Amino acid sequence: MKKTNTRKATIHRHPGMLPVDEPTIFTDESTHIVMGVQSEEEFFAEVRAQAAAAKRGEPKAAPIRLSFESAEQLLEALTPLRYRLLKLLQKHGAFDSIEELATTAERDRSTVSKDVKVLAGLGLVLVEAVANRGHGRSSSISAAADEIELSLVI
Amino acid sequence: MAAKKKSRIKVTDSRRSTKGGGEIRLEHWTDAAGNTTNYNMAYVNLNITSDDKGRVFGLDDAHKYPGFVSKHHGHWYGEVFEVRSFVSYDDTLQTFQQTLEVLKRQYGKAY
Repeated sequence: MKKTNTRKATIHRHPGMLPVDEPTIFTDESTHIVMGVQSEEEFFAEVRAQAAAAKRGEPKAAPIRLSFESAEQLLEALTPLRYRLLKLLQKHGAFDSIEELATTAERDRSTVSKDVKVLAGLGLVLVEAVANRGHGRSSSISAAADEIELSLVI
Repeated sequence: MAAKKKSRIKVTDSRRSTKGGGEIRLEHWTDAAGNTTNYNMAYVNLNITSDDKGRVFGLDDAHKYPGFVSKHHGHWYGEVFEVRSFVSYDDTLQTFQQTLEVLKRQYGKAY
């Protein structure tokens, strides 16, 4: 199990600080994802270039960019089994449960569940809790993008 | 009927995985002329904090908190603070990146 890091940066609280009250942090608008390797400096430089292009009067809807520090980190995230799950989700459409997805993929439910969690964390898969009449709740699983572009230079 | 013109364009939706299991995520919307309409910058790491869905630090203008004069605000380990000195998106991005450098030094491999 991963050890939780409990160190916390120094913080000077003042009366103006409030507890957070927001249901979500991010929004998903694009259905095109580009995955690749960049340094943190390159990552920020690309974001600044997008802002500069917009400022020149050329605002362009950006694909979702997933940036990794190294090829190893990218390949650890997108393993062949997870890649196959993504292909299956794109081909099949949404699945109504992890069980259904695991059965179709001919894989063990618990490992599929772990892989879906990782892919959802990366933003490649959408998991939505749905009421399952008479059977509590289940999860609807679908691909987050119509197109995933992988950019990797070796 | 003519299609409704999109009022804002998402010109940036960039996410970056960090070595310590965190994620940097930047969102930026502009109008058709390229003026910033909204932004959202966040560093999320559930290994560092579970508060605010793991958001360690963030700057955004998603909505105005009660008692705050402006909608520009920051997130810091589950609490929010008002940013009264907003200058521009570029300036805010610079502040965000500089604060990440401080967090990177502090957390090392756990960043």
